[in-house]
Amino acid sequence: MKRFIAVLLCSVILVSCERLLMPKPEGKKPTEVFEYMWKTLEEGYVYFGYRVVNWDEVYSEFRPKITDSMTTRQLYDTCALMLSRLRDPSVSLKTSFAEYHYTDTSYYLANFNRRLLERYYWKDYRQTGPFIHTVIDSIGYVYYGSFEDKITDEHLDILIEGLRLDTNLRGVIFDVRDNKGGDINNAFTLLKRMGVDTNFKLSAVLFKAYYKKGPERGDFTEAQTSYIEQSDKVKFPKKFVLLANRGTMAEAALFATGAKGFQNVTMMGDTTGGRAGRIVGAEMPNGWILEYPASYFTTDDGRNLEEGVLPDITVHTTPADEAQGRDAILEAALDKIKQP
Amino acid sequence: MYLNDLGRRLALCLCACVLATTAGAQYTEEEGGVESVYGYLRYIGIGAGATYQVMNDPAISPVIYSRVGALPMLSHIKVNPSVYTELSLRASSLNLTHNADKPMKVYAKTQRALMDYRFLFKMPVEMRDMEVRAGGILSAQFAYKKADHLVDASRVYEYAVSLGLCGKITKEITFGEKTSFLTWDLAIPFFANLSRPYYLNREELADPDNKPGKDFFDNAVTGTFGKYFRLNSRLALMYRLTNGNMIQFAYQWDYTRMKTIHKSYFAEHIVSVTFMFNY
Repeated sequence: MKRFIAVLLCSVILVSCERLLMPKPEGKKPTEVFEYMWKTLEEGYVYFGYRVVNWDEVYSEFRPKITDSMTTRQLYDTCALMLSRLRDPSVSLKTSFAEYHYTDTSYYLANFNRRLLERYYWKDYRQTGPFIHTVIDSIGYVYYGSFEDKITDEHLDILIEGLRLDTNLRGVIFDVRDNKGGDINNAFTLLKRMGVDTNFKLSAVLFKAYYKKGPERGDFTEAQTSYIEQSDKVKFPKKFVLLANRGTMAEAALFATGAKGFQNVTMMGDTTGGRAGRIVGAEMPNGWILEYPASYFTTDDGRNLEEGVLPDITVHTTPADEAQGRDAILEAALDKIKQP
Repeated sequence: MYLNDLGRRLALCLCACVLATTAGAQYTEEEGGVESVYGYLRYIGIGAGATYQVMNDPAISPVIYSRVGALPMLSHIKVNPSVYTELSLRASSLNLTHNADKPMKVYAKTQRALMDYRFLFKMPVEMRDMEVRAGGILSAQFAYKKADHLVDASRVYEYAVSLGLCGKITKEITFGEKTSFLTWDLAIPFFANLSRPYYLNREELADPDNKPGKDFFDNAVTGTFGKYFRLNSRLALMYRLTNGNMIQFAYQWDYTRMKTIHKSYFAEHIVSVTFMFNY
């Protein structure tokens, strides 16, 4: 008996092979990788309903094409084709030899030409932190190109105090066209500087978020409504016009829908782009990385942000406008503020 | 002077070595070292070790991540003929990886901190000149894992506070004409409070009122072996120096399984040297 105990103890002490106690890793065979990828999206992807995709039918179509004798490249090509059925630019597949991204071929007017702005509108511009700003016809103009660029309260104090010192200032145009998003905290920092100076305790609804909370199709959290409370920080003065286009995406689109909640804000230009959902990465058993949206956002009135945020006033800059050196969206915003 | 991580660890090890071999402990052969007024032999241990970590965490990947690295360790031991207490702390920071798709190197930065408090009593058992002690273990561990390639699902926080049973067998041996001790101890927690991330490592960062710490604790569960299973096995040789201090050479294996939404597994092999200052 003692010998048995000694052998048992030695085995625990010296062998201690944890891999025997861990589950067998997922297989790397093409069929196993395919099954894992399909199941990952089945349990995590949020837009099957919105994009009207029958994922079970997609399985039935592609599963027979997968065999364990196929090459890695053939597996990748088949998986990429399967993913293209989702028609979702937020879905991607990364491998060491190739990357798949869905290309949205819908045609939209660009509605933004930076070189035109630099040539005709951004004369003598100044830069404070990530903001390019100038004054056009007694109207403050601020361009913010990416929510990746950190905004601090110091940047905003300098920018807004400068605008407020101008007694002739009639309002502010805030341009987030072609802003592809970044850090949502920058949006919150900006939103605290919007609205009007008041002693009342106001709050604005920003958006509603729905997160995947389990593997079943309908496993979503309850709508989680985000608010921004009235802050005592110095705010952008007078009228505020926000410019957006289809290139305004992700956190920039979330910012746009939040900004629209303030009474003194008018959004002009085109509908924003989508991609506001939280993108998660999932590693496949063979090391490939699949990225897909695992949450979605809606406006306060229930519009899915994947459809974009609608402007209050739709304006387009046509190629003819550009040929004349004219940014029609910016011109319309200037006119809007000049109106009594 | 600039020291990288390895340099700092080596410097710490060297300092401990110098102190251990020079610190006077008024050692006498009969007493075994300096005793406190209550008759305890007390040791402060400063050590370093090599660790091989293996992680299978479905919140990050179905692929097993692993890596070899170094870690510092601290301990405090109080022992008398009937009671043994030990507080041990260790921390590590490793970039675990795998080679499932070799050219595409991915890392999961894994930072762990662990505290074990063992409280053991001498058992009235005679077994081949071996001393047997048994008692409890109170343990707390925290881990932060960050796999940047997983975009918004890259962060995993987890903690576990547990209570369990612990046993220790000690055999006195003569090693280089000095009395040394060969010990083996085993700890198995049976009751734990733990927390792991939400499904798909959700963090509600799009809500300005979101408090990550609040989510972390709201998501906690309490359970027994089904929720949390840990096995800690340690074999050590404690070698006495002439000045009453000791050097401990140890190998330990630490295996943990935590179950919330997924079952996550973690194992660690540690080979360490600890300098025990008797005071």
